[in-house]
Amino acid sequence: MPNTTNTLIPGADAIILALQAEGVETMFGYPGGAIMPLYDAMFRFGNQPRHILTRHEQGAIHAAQGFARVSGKTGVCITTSGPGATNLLTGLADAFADSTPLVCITGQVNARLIGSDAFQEADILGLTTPVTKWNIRITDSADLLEAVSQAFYIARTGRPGPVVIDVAKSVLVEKIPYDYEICEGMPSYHPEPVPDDKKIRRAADWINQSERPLLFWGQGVLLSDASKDLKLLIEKTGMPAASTLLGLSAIPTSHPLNMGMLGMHGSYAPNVLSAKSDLIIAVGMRFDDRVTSDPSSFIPNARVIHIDIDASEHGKVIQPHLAVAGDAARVLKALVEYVEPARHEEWVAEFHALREMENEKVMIGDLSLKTEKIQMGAIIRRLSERFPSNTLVVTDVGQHQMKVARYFNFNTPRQLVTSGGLGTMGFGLPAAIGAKIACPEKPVIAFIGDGGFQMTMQEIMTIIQEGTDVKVILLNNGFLGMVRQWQELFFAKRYASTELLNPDFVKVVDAMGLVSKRIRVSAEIDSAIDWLLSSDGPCFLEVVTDPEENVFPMVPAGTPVSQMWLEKINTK
Amino acid sequence: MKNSYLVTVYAHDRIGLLLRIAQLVTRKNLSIERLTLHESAVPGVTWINLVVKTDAHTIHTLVKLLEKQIEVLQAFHVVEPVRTKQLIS
Repeated sequence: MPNTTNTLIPGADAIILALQAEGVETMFGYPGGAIMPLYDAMFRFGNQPRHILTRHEQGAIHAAQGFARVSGKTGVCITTSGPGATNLLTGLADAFADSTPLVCITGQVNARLIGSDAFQEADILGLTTPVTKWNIRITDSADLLEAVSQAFYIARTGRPGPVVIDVAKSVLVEKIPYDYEICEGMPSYHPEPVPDDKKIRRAADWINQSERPLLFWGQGVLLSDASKDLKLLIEKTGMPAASTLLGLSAIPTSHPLNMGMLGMHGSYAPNVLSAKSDLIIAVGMRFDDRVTSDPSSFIPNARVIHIDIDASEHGKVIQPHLAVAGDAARVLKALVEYVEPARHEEWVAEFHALREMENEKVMIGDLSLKTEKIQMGAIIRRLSERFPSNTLVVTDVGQHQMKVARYFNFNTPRQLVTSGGLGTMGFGLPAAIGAKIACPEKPVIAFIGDGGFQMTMQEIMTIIQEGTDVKVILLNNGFLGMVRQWQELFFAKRYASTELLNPDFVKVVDAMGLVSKRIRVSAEIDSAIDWLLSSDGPCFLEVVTDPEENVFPMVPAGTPVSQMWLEKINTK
Repeated sequence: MKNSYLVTVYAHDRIGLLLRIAQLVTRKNLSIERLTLHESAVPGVTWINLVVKTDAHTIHTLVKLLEKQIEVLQAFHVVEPVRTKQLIS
């Protein structure tokens, strides 16, 4: 039944009612001139949905992303026109790359002023087109509610993504009837292709015939809640599996057939052995260049089955021998039925042998608590061991991100929030706020480097104002570490603009009003974790780490992944 | 091998449609050689024809991206017949 009323209400009030009808409980934003009528409506409706005031619009959208990524719900973000909306662009591009459902409502100048270079006017429709799944400008109040309902439908269905509704200020004040209806379909948009059963049967045949099958999974498995189906498939067929960065946590790290992470700083075994595999089953992943390196040398001996809901991903990077367009859960459920039980003990043993080699050459050193200088991996693993198993982990971007991906032990789906496709520094702190607000019952750790922290550190004040219990772990090596590592390996240690003169982070955060602490040596790790675990609210731990620590293994750009380096090789 | 491809798109008309189509072509690092756009036989549905010179892989990925757009009802391509004849002669 549509919510019909004969009473006319302002467009702003209609938006708030529509958000309530969509089940939105929390939104993130920053007010300004053009969006003021909507903020006024929020106030009059008793802050329902609850609005979280961040300190920058970029913080608002990353928080909405963190919210969406851990909850599976659509994140909502509200900003004003002009700079308010342009400050969303990085977050939109990030959400677009990482398939995160967002609805962003941006204020726009009055309809009659559009195109006149009015105060705080920017062409948000034009600016956001390349980084949105859909966008629309509303200058006629009669179009408003249909656009809002379509925006929510588009953002959450199919391959999710960010949507922008740019609403002229005049529309927010014009009175309209409230006749909101939840959108359940659009004539030109078919979000979920029906998978071809014949193709799934053929995929099952290929799996049954394969001697060295290897499954790659990506975030599509998390987005379609297919973790259980994936686990059933690999357990029934006995095939090893490896995750992309964004797919991590779909299957527990400890699962015997989980061979770790693919890609540039992933695990040695799946990278090297992908070249020996005779069948790759890629589920809900898009063959990013950080996974494939040089696509022409990637998986040279394998037939490829590519399962993805987005048909435009089939053949974009790797031409599959069999492409199945469909939702991961639906396809995997059918596959589990069709495949025959199997074991690939020798093949799996090859992975274990290489994992042992990686353990000896890389991991033992990375995880050592005996060195004086703190190793990033060591404190990450120790936190993973000592925090509750349902802890949500949010990272920023860089070396610490790769160390978290490698050394945090994931147990439950959607446990990791990280900026994958766009690699946005400054993402971590606000995303952690969103994650905690979405799941207040779960502990949240934000791992952030000293470079990324200084991009959005003002959001510490959001944490304090909202009382958001995030444990912020600043891994401070005094460098833009990942770039420095590349300079060390490929630019003869010419450290161009990567050494940072940092403030005294503990004093800064303390002055903001957040309890903070610094540790410098490995012997202090456990007492610092005791402190984090016993702190009731948010707190900040600065960990001074080895400034020249590197992330290994690694695949240098353009090198076949099968030639991954386990340690530093002399380069000129 | 590069060919001239004629790409046809049927889509619901709205402000910003052409921009969305054009930016997808731009992202493939292609320039539009010819472009026509008018209302189709179905009111509210725009018929866009554009010609780009590229290879078979790029045109396939471009057309898939076009088809994916929310407003797009249908997108397809052919090797542009007139242009090919002209090139041969």
